[in-house]
Parts: sequence; C-alpha cells; structure tokens
Amino acid sequence: MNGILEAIAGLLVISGSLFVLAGGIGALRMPDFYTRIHGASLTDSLGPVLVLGGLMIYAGLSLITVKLAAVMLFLLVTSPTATYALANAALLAGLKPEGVVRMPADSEDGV
Amino acid sequence: MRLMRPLLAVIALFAVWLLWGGLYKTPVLQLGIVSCVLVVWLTYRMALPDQQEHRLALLYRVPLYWLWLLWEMVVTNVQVLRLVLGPRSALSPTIVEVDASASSKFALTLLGNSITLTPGTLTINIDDTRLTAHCLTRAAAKDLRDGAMARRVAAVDPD
Amino acid sequence: MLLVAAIAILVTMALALARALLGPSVYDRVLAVNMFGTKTVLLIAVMAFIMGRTDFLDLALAYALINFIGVLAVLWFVQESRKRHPSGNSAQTTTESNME
Repeated sequence: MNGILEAIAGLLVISGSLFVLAGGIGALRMPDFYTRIHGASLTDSLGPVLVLGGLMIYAGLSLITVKLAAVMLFLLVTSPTATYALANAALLAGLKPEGVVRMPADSEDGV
Repeated sequence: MRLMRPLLAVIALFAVWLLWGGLYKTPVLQLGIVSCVLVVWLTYRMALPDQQEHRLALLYRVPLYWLWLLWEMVVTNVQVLRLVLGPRSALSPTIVEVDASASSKFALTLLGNSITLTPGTLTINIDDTRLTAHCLTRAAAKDLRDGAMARRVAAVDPD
Repeated sequence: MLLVAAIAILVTMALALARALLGPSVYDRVLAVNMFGTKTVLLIAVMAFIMGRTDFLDLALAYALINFIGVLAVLWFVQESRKRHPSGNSAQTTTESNME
C-alpha cells in the first residue's frame, strides 16, 4: 500500500516538473512578449499543483501537508495576479502584441 | 460592531500563527499577538475592505469552482504543452473581449485570475466589467468568448 | 524520483535566466525573474523532502510572498521611471522591441 502511494506521489512530482520544464522552454522559444507569458504561465499553473500535490502525498496527514497546501494556495493566488500586473503594465507602456487578430465580444463567429 | 471584523481577522491570524510557531512561551505569544494586531492595523490603514457582506455560501461554492478550474487547467495545460513544443505556425494569437456576467470586485478578480491561470489565455486589461484577454490560439479565444468560465464565476458570486 | 524533479526545476531556472539575459524588453526580464522566483519556491519545497529538512517549507512560504511583492515593486519602479524620464533606459529597451 505504502509502495503504491509513493509511486503515485513520485509520478505526480515528475509529471509536474515536466510541465515546469516545458514552460521554461516555452518562455525561451515563443516569438513575442505576450506569447512568452503563455509559456511562463505553464510553469505557474499545473506544474506547482502536481509537484506540491505529490509532496503532500509523500508527507501524509501532518502539519507539513498544511504548509504545502498553504504554499500552493499562495502561489495560485499571487502568480496570476503578478502576471496580470506585468501584462497590463506592458500594455499600458505601449508594447504591442505581434500578429494578433481582434475578436470583439458581440460578433457572431469572430474575426 | 465596526470592530467585529478586524477582531475576527486578528483571531484568525493568531490561529494560523499558533499553527506555524510551535514555540509556546509567554513572551513569544505576546509578540505573536502584537504582530497580528499590527498586520490588521496596517491592512486597514492601506485600504478598507469592501463593505459587501461576505456570505457563507462562498465557503463551499469557491472550492467547488476550484475543482472545475483544476480540470480546465489540466485540459489547457496539455494543449499549451503541445503548442510550446510544436511548430510556431500552430500559433494564432488572438485578442478577445469578454463581458463578466457579475460585477463585484471579488467576481472580477476571480474571473481575471482564472483566465490567467489557465495557460493559453491571459487577462491583459480590465475595464469596468469588460476583460481583454490575449489568447494563444483562435480556438482558445472562441471558448473564452462563449463565456462558460464567466457564467461559472457568476454562479459563485451572483452580485 | 525527487532528484529528477529537482534537476528539471533547476534546468527551468537556467532557461529563465537565459530569457532574463536575452530580454529584449524590461518586461521580458521581469517575467523571467518572476518565473525564477516561483521556481525557487518549488525547488526549496522539493529540496526539503530530499534532505529531510521539512522546516525549509517555511522558507518556501516566505519566498513565495516576497517574490510577489518584489515583482510588483519592480513594475512600479519601471512605471515611475518611465513617467520621469520618458526617453530613459527602460523606455528605450521597450521601443527597441517594438521596432522588431
């Protein structure tokens, strides 16, 4: 039983770190600033959830799990807020997204 | 009754402080209480929290929403993973405007952050109740404009 | 298993550093630094389990919060310096990337 749990935890941590790694690659090879944010946000969404979730299974039910849950909660609340602040600051400073199409809210099927 | 909420905040903070500390001697505890009061005072000095009544219903609605959001995150993460490792020609960056169905600050924050948290869509501006989002592909933009996420957020906090 | 994850996170941090050095705009650099910070939090959490020192988790928590405040502070600083010196250094790097 313990072995199975540990295997699941290891699998979660590994797959989480793969998402993190892919996000790092994305932040490096995407063509412009706004698309690079999408790459970086890959490291900020499912990656931490899987890594910290896996560690929570390793830790079992204890104070450590509570602390890991707190770290996860803080990351999931602060990282999109920081990303929005960054994207909005860049937009207001006049940094234009490259090659975008605008899709208004009320058009029938867009573009 | 104006002191009710700051007092509750101090008590909640102190409970968390006790959970973290693990060292229960009188001077340490006194320091803990002082720091909790200081934090709440600084927060109220910065900005009064909005006066909207915080209904208890949010306590179970928000976690249920998080479960749905987690599933969305799994789906979009796999999509963006493919885009990131695949050819650049697969990208079709689109800017889309979304109307939030709810107008409270809480609902707008929840919607804006949820859009950013699911990779492939990114909130770049909030104007009153209209959000502007940058999307990695046209398909993601269409999904966002169809408003499934906005409707779910409005169900969490209908104000 | 944990060691593999730690190495993957370290490589990601190196990629983030590369992006910070490449720029081209200030915002790319802030994005990279923010990414580096959140990856540090994950690395500390994983290292806590590898080394069996779970008290490291308190550091991870503190780092998550400091990183957030730090990024907001840098953004505020960039905005203020753009207001004061419209042709200053930070604005210049932005126009450069605009012309690309």
